[in-house]
Amino acid sequence: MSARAVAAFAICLLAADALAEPARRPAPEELLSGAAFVRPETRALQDDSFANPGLIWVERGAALWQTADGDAGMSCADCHGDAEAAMKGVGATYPKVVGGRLLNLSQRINQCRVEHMAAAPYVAAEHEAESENLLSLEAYVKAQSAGMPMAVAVDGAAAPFFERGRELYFQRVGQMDLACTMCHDDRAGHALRAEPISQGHVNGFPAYILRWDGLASAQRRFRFCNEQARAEPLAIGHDDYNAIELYVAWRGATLPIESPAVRR
Amino acid sequence: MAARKDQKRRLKIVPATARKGDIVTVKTLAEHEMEPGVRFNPETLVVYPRFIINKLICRYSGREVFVADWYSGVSANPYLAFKLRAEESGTVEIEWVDDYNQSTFARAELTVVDAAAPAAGDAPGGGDAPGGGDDATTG
Amino acid sequence: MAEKSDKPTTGALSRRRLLAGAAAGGAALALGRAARADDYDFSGNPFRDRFQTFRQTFRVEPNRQEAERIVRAIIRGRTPIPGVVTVIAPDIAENGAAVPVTIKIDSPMTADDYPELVHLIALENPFPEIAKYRFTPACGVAEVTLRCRMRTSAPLVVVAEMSTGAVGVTERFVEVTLGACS
Repeated sequence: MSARAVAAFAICLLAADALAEPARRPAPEELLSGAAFVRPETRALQDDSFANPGLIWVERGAALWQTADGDAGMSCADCHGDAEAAMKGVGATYPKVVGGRLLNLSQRINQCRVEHMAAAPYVAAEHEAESENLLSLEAYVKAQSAGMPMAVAVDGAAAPFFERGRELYFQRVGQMDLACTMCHDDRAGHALRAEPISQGHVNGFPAYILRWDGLASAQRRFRFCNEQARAEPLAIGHDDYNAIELYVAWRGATLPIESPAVRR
Repeated sequence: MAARKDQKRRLKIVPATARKGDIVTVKTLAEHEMEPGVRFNPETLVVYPRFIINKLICRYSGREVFVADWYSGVSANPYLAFKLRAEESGTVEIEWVDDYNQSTFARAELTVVDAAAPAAGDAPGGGDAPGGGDDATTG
Repeated sequence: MAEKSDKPTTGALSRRRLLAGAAAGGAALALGRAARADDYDFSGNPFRDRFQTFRQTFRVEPNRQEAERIVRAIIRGRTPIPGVVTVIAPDIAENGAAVPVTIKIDSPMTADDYPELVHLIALENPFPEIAKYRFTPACGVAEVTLRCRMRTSAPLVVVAEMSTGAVGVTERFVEVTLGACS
């Protein structure tokens, strides 16, 4: 079936759907992490403290944490000390408003590098989608919050960004004219070709994605989602993606951080 | 893809302390993109050349006990677990050899106690000694 | 044409390479040792099953008949013994890039009787041979766990060649589906 036919079919099916009322999110008892939508072997791999490939990045992040970098000759540990103590619970609060801007965890790490370590921010190499070192640090910091519920702030300074994120979550995009809610709220658990649609939470990110053979951030996954709906993907770190990540993190609040998860 | 010199190697022997004659599990994990040589750049149609780890050699107290020959069908970040019979206390060394004949290594200690001695888990060395049988990582 | 010899001269090798190249589409013949007569098996595609040359720069499509020929070539006319090899793999793979497989071989693991060479082959992969494992009696138990790549739904075949000359073969079908977003 051509993409156009599929899109037309989808539109016919869904034209009757009113877009969901703005503040809707799954009730806490309905929340299911992405781990509930993968096969048992994949879940076992995620729980394996040795074989989970994402732990490679966590290990590298631990080493980077101790490594001095930049003109100030400092490492993360020089200011923050032991990450297990200092970063406990920190990863669960991102994306977060810092200095008037909504930043995700990797942007915050880069900002720290520039401001306090006088080091160049990590940028992706030409052949990479994301910087491996930045992913490693993000995974390491996130892993210190493993098991803790996601707890992002959506009031106060974060309120306008939260509104923007909510607006984008319900916005139909792409040739397929799909909004996030149409798959992840209305059709979670249904099969899309041979895979079950998950609820689209970000508690497992950065996650080891089997199709990319590597660790990936939530926003790289957003890009892929956009590409699949034949929408123009935004750059990783774009304000709109930060806003969506904030909304999705709020939507999944109380789900425990599972990073590094193993996902398709 | 991390710079080649940063790519991790992990090795763990479960349990790290065993009685003589027991079977222990050796778990290995290497960080490597294992480029299979069949993927191609969609614009230029140039195939990315194959670059994989093609050999894993396990030496126990210096003797080669297990060899795996890999081809492009092995997944990226290759995981391999196999068994060893605990005979004497010694170093278990894993060597990964890639297509350019570059080797990387990981080593872990396997402590073997006599059959009459306490079972695994009562090892005096504890789990924190470097290379003490827990995750021994290099790279 | 030059006579077959243990150490072919450069001229003979390049002429054979031209003929082989014409058949196989120009793959390089990279031998680490002296060539033997059965290296030049023109009944199929010799380069696919033996020489997955690094620096290969051409795309290869899966060929089920070739893969089955490779399995037959490994078994080499011996009668496989059933029940020696156990293959544990999921019915449906989460993703073809990482299919978890466990291979267990029932063997006494003595100096006289142990699995010398165990092959893992996927019949619908462009390069069917995934890995070869060489056990020794020091392993205690002949068991490996790995993650392999599968291009599409196919049988995974494990051929265990024992030091006694016996061979055990087991097959397990694994479904690899096209997922939601691919």
